Amino acid sequence: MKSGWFRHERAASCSGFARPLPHQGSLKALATGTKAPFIDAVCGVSFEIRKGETLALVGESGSGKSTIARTIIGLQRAVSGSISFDGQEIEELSGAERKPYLRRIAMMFQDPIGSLSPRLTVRSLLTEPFRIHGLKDRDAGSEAERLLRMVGLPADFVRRYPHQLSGGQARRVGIARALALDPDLIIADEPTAGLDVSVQGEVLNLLARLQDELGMAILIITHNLNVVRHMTDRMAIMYLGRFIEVGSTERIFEHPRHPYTEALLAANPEPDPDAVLNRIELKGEVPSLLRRPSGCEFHTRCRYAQDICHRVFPEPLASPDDTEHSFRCHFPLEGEAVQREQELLFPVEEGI
Amino acid sequence: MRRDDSISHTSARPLLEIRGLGLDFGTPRGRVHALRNVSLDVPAAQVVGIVGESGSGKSTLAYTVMGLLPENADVTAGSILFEGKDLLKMPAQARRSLLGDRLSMIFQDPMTALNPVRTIESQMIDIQHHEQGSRSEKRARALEMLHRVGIPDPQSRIGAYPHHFSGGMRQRVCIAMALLVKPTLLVADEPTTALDATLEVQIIRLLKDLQKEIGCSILFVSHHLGAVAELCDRVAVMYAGEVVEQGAVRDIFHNPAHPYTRALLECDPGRIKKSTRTLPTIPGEVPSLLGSKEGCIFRTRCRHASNRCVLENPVEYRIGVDQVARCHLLDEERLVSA
Repeated sequence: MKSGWFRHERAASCSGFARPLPHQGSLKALATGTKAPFIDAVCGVSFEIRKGETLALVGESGSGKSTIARTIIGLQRAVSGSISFDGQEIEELSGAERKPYLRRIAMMFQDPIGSLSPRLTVRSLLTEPFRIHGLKDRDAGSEAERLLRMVGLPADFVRRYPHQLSGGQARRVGIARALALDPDLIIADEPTAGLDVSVQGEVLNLLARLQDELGMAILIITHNLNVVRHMTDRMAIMYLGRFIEVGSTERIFEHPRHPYTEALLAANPEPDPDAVLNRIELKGEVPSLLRRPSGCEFHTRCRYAQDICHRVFPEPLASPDDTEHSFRCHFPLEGEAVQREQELLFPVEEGI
Repeated sequence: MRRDDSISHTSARPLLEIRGLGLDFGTPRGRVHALRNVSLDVPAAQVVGIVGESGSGKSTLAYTVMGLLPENADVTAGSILFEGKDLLKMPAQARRSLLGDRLSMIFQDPMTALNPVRTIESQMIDIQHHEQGSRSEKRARALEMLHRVGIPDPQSRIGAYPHHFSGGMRQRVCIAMALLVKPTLLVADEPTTALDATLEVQIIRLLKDLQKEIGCSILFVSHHLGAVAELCDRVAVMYAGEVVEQGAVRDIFHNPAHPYTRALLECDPGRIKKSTRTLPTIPGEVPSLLGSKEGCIFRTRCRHASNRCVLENPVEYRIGVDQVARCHLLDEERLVSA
C-alpha cells in the first residue's frame, strides 16, 4: 500500500510553503463503525493543502471524498496513515488534546438546512462554537452580527430559525458558522449541492472573497467539476477511494490524462443543442467497494482498457513537464490523439 | 405582433395542450399562486423540456398533468387538453384510468419510487393491469423491456428486490416500467437529478433512443440546462410560477429573448470558458408567491426593469417563427425597429 501524508502548514515563519514529506504509512479510513468486514472506503490517499490554497476533491458518490473530510475533523478514525496539521500529527490525538487543532479547522456539511439545528436561532447557531471552545469573553450578540455581515446577510437574521431560511441563506449561515473561530482551513462538503445555478455562483463568489480577505485554505468536496474550475488551485479526482489523477486545476481541465477524468469533464458540457456531442458514455456502473476489480480498478468502465489493465495495478506517473500532475493509468491520454508511448512518462517516487 | 395564447406550430393538434392554467396552494399564511396563466403545448412524438429553478412550479406543472396533487392544491383557471379531452373536467375514475395507460411518469428519486417489499417482477406485471394477456406474457414483455433499458441478464435479475439494484439500475427499472405500458405521453420529473454525472449521460441517451423507438412524447422537467439541450426538441422556461419564454430548443439556447433566460444561461458554469474568480449570478431572490401579482414577475431581479414592468403584466411576444417570451422589452424593440 502506498504511504501518505496529509499536511496543512501554516507556520508564519515558513510563509505557508509546504514540502513533500517522507511517507508515513497509508491513510485508510473506515466506512462504518462496525467490526469486520471493513470496506476500504479510502485507501492509500496522500495529499497536502498549503496555506491559503484551495484544493478540490472530485468524485462520484461512494468515491470516498466525504470520508476523507470526516476523517480530517475526527468524526471517523483512520485505520492507518497519518494526518498532520501545522506540523502536529493529529490522528493519534484524542478528545481534549485534539480540540485546539479542531478549533482551527472548520467544516461546512453537505445539507445546508439539515446541518443547522432546527431548534436554535441563527444567533445561537453562530455563537455555539464560542461556547464549545470556552471563549466567554466574546459578546455573543455583536459577534453574531459581525459574522452575518461578513457573509452578506442582514443583522436581523439573528432571530430567525433555520426553517425560515432559503437554501442559499442557510448556506451563508453555514459559512458564517464555519468562520466563527477564524479557522486556517475550511472543509466545504458539496457547498453548492441542492442550490440553483443562480445561487451557486453567489456562494462560490462569497467563499472566494472571504478567502482573499482572510487567507484561509479551503478543501472543496464536490462531484461537479464546473464548480471547482474557477475556484480551486489544485484538484484530485477520486475513484473507489483512491486518487486517480492529481494536479493543478487549470492543467487538468486543459489536458486530462486519466480516461475517467476525461469522461467526468465531458459529462457536464456547455448547454448547446448544436454542440458536437462528445459526451463520453461510460459503460456500466461504479463497482462495489466490497468487490474491487483486479488490476486498474477503472478497467471495467474504461473504453481504452487493454489486457494489462485487467492484471496490473497502475503505479502513479507524472507528466514529464509538470511533476505536480500525476495520474494512475497504463495508457494516459495524450492531447487530442491518444498515444501509448510509455517512454514519455516516468514513474515518480511519491504516491498520489 | 401580439398574441395572447400559446403557439400552435404544427398543423396537427398537439397531444397535450395546456391553456391558461392557474393553480393555488392553500396554506395557513394565505394562498400561494404556484402556477399563473401557464400555456404550453406538447406535440406528438416530441420531447418538451421545462426548465427553471426550485420553486418555479415546474414539478407542480408535471404533477398537475398527472393529477397527483396534494389536497390543498386548487386549480383556479385553465384547461389541460390531452388527446382533445380536458383532463380537469373528466370524472376522477376516467382520469385515473389514463394513468399507467396513455400517461405514465418517471419520478425524481429512483430510491423511493419502487415498492421495497415486492420484487421487480411483480411490480412490472402489476403495472400492465390495463393490458390483455396472461401473467407469463406480461412477464415476457417485462423481460424484454428490462433488456432494452440495459439491465444485464434480466432473466435472473427480474426476481430481485429494489434494494438489490444500484441507483442507476433502479432508474432504468423505473424507465422500463413507465414505457412498458406504451404511453403516448411520458412525464419525467427530474429523472437524472439523483444520479451521478456519468450515469446521467447514460440515462439521457437511453431516454432519447427509447423515445425515438416508441414514438411517444416526453414532458421532461429539469433544472439541468445541459440535459435539456441534449434531449429536448422544445423548451419552456419557468420562473416563479409562469412560463416566461418558450420555443424550439435551438432558438432558446442560441437566441434567448427573455432577460431571465439569458441570465440563467449565463450562470451555467459549463458555459464559462475563461478562467474567472467571480461567477455570474442573478442578484436578489425569487419573489413570494403569496398575494396578488401585478406587473412582470421578474422585475425585481431584472436589470432592464422600467416603470411599465411594475404596472403592466407582459403578454407573450413572438420572436421569429417559433419562440414566444413575456417581456415588455420585446414590444419596445419592435416599436423602435418598425
